Amino acid sequence: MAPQCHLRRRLDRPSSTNPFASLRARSLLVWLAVAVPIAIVTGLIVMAYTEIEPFASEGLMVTVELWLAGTFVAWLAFVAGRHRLNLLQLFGSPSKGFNWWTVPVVVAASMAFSPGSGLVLAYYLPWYREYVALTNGGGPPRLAVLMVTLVVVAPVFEELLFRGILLHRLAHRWSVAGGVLAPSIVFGALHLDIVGATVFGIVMCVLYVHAGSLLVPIAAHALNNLVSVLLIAAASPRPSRP
Amino acid sequence: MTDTSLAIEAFLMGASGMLIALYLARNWPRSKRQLPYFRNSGTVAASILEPEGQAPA
Repeated sequence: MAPQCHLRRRLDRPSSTNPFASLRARSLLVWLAVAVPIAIVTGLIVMAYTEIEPFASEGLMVTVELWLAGTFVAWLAFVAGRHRLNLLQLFGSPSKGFNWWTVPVVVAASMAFSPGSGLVLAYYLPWYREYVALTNGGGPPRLAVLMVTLVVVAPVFEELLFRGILLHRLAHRWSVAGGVLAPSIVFGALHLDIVGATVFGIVMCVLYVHAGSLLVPIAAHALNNLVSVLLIAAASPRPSRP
Repeated sequence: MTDTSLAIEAFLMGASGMLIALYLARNWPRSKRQLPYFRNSGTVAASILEPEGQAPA
């Protein structure tokens, strides 16, 4: 039998046991222990050779994002084999009655909510204002770089991690509400706009459950990031000609 | 930031917040069986409500 057929049959076979009973969320710490030092060292090397500013560089962002995503895929392949996690089942296919217009509507609502929540946060927390100012201090970003990292890599990686793995595991361990809220709070804490990103994470969890397929929140996340990238590009000052 | 832009921002935040709350209320998963992996599986469904280490009844 050809190896591809064997793999396909193995991926298509429904699980007879629940992989999220044995797949511990803390095993992600192993991935982080490997990925974060590598990402930091690689980022420092990139910074040393390109003389770019920390926090304000898309080069550093790309390096960290790609390292985290690449090592996460390796971790996922390992745990999928070990815990008999069916990845095709995790991705699923959209429900027949799912209305795709839901995607742009929830993305538009999340994007409209986000700036206001950022303003409220900045009003009450002075350190948040300084943090935003620090991270916005870079030069004009390169559109192609942002497109690859924010529109292609980040949605797939983050949806697989937060909605695919953590939602199921923590819902199994605690409750559905815990499974939706805990990964969304972590997701929000890792983003600049903490409140807006947390709400976006909750919406993506519910969208995943509503649609029955991980492809839908990936599409919504990519659309959200695409609009953000285009807005950043439109707002950036154009380089003056010599 | 002017008062007008703040008012627009507040309106957008309130309207979108209401829309999001409505969507979440209508589609919030009420049981673990609704989660996509368990829903797509079928055979797993019986075991997911059991605590870890215990066989399903």
